[in-house]
Amino acid sequence: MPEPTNTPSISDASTPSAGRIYDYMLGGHHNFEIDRQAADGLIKQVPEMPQWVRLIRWFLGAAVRSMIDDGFSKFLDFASGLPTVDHIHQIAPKGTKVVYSDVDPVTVAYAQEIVKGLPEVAFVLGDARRPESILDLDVVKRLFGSDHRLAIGFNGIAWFLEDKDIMHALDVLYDWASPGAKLFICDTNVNVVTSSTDKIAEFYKQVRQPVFLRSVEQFESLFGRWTIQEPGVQPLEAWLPIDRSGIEKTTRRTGGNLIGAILEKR
Amino acid sequence: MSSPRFPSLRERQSVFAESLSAFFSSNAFENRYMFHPTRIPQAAAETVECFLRFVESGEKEPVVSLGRSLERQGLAEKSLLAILPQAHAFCASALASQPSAALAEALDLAVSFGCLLFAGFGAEQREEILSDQEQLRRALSTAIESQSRELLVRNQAIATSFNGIVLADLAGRISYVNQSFLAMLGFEQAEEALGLQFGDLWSDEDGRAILDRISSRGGWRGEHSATRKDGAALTVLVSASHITDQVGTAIGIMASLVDVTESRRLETQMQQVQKMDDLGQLAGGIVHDFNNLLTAIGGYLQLVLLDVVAESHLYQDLMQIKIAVDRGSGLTKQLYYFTRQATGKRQPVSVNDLVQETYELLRRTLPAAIAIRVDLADSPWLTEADPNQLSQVVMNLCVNAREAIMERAEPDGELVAAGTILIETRNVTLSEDEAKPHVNAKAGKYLLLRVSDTGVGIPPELVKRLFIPFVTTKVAKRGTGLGLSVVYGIVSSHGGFVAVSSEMGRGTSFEVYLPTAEASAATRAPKRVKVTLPAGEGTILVVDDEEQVRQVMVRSLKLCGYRTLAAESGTNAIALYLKHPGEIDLVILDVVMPAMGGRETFLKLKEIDPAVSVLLVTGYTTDRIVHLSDELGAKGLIEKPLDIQRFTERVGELIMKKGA
Repeated sequence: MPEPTNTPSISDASTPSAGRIYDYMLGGHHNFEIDRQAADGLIKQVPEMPQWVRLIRWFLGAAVRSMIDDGFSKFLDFASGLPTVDHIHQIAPKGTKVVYSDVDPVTVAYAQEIVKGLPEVAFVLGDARRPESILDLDVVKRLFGSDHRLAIGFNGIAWFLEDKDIMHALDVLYDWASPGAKLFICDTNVNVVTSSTDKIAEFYKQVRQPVFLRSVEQFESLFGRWTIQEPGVQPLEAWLPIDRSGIEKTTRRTGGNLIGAILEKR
Repeated sequence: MSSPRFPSLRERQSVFAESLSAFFSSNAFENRYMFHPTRIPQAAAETVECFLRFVESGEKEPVVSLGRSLERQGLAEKSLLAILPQAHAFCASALASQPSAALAEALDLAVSFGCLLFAGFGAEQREEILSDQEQLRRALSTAIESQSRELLVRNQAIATSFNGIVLADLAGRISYVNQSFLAMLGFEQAEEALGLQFGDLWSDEDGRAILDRISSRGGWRGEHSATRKDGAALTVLVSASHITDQVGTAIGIMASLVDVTESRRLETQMQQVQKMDDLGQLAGGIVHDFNNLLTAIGGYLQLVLLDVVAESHLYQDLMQIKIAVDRGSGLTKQLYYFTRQATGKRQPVSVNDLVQETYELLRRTLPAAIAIRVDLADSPWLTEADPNQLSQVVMNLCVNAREAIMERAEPDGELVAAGTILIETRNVTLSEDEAKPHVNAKAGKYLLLRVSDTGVGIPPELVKRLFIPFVTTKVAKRGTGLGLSVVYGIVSSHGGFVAVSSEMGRGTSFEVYLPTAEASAATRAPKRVKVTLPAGEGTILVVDDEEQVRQVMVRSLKLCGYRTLAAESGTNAIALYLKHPGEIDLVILDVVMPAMGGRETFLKLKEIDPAVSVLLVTGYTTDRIVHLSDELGAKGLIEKPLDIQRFTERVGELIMKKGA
């Protein structure tokens, strides 16, 4: 789950935390009453939020499975949150090398407990806005070596970051990655999400977490030198084997609220 | 292998799996995030397989395990609860043609399956919640520990800050002060400061209005006056701002205080020293030009006096001019001391001896109503100094003291009351802290000369300007306003410093600190006896850009019998020297000239004749010029205004040496 630097740590129980609200909406148990009340308030105004957060996480699962099918055996993931069920190393076959990262020290401390004993998996402290600090770590060099044809997860965080930060991060990663490397990323789509955007922005402002909502065009403009892989920028549900009627049944607005893409360095 | 108990259920297994998968899929968003939609068909198939095996074998454990597994995978409770009606419907459909007892048994088994499945699911859910909560508790515990450490560091940072730190509520009532604040304001305990109004700490108007300023601007930074508990005045740099909560609402005030009293005082002193340096340079320029003028006037006058009968009226008139010139020379000499460039002959000096001489002189000349006392150190440390200049210091301070007493004593021009001048010497050793308040002072041994009076005192606003030339506390008819400037210049040029303390109506005390020397004191040279102009022979080249000065030198040398050549510039001097090879016995060379200066001229002369004899003349002797004289190998250095007698004697000495 995304946890930008200027928000309270997930273990600060005195104020609602964007990270713990996210956890609650995913159905997790790492949250407090103050977070649940805040989340319920948001859900009341934007009932589709729980479905959106699931779509984001499932997009990760779909992208990882797709990349495993493509033969990728190295994964670098940003803003990972706790690597519990259905995260990369649980989806990927044994021997896959995975480096997770998160900006919250407490999340990192507990995540390291979870992956302890898995020599091919590491969890490091790092800010997705400055990936260079992660790429320079010894453990990254040890696990990935000099061949950087790997899969990169930049999932569920774009709306918490300013354009310049995303562009910088993707630029640094492009220079570092080897040809053939892929990166999956998702964002909001303000062309579809119209009436809810103000409510969402206002809510996150209250929990001291600014959000940056974009159109498809704005989203694509962030990719820099990365090439968008077919089928291009798609609604997240398009990446999943979900009956569209199922989505329409559980959300007031139809799909397309969130969009995702897989990028490639050619 | 026995045949299945309900073969028709097996036969339609895939139908049930597809139906269950469709249901799970339509409720995909009810599942927890970790139940990825791609795994739905597999989860449905596993559930149906487990159900059929249970119906066939009655084995409970696999069902409970499946319940646990489905919970771990993230299946929603709604989907789990739907399995039982789905199984019921499936049995009813598949066993519709079977005996009712078989259908009933299958339906009972379906209920048992559902119960076991839910039991496993529930057990796993409870364990998971407990586990997650435990994880959360540990996270909290770690975070609290970490925050406690951070809090401790922050608290200590404030408590031990070198700056004074004050916390107050929005009304300005002080609720916390740190140790530095207590030390700065002279409080012994925090309780003395707690509850005080922050604005009341300041004695200036701006400071008392500080709360308003913080409120209107959100913060304030400025210098304010305060008074320590012991009454001492302070200047404090205050940076104060609102403390705000997480949403920006002001909840209190925090101020950081820096005591800048000392640094502001030193800044003022530095500015004063800089100003005195600038004035010294200005005075140096004036001294140079005035000396040239006085040399011309005085020189011609002395030449004229040689031709005039002493008993004539003209002689008497000319002597009046000479007296005025001598006074002008004296004034220039004093101003010259102020430039701090006066070098003089330094030697180990006992200030006690100088004080004693001055005391003897003053004792006889001071009005009877003014008492003068001395209190001298038993074994005073010596100081490396020009005794004549130091005598001037003692005398000027005593004259100043006398004037202060006179001013107090005779408001209407009549001496009505007495006063005392006290001259003291002491050996003092200044520590770093004791030296710090005095600009340019260093820790170490000093001979202290203190001259105190019981006079009128000096107004505080005048103390800062006391050493500036022509600034005087006295009425215009008395003194030149240069006495203390001379003291300052001489003492500074000796590496010492002067401190003043004064109280209006009570008197003034000047403390002169002179660095000490190791050697023993020399006795002072006897005074010179006047003689007539000495006769001499030889050819002398006089080089000076000032026409009048040049002519005075030429004429006086001619009177002595010398042959003279004169040049108004370095270039002409070189030309003359080349024109008269081997004829010139001595070159008298002005140091400061436009275009080719004395140094350059000297060097060129040496190129022509390495044995050239040069006597340098200057109206403004500095260390640099003395050094130049030594460096170039000049035969001597004499100062303007010229005393014709001494000038011609010096020339005679050099000519005789050369001849020998």
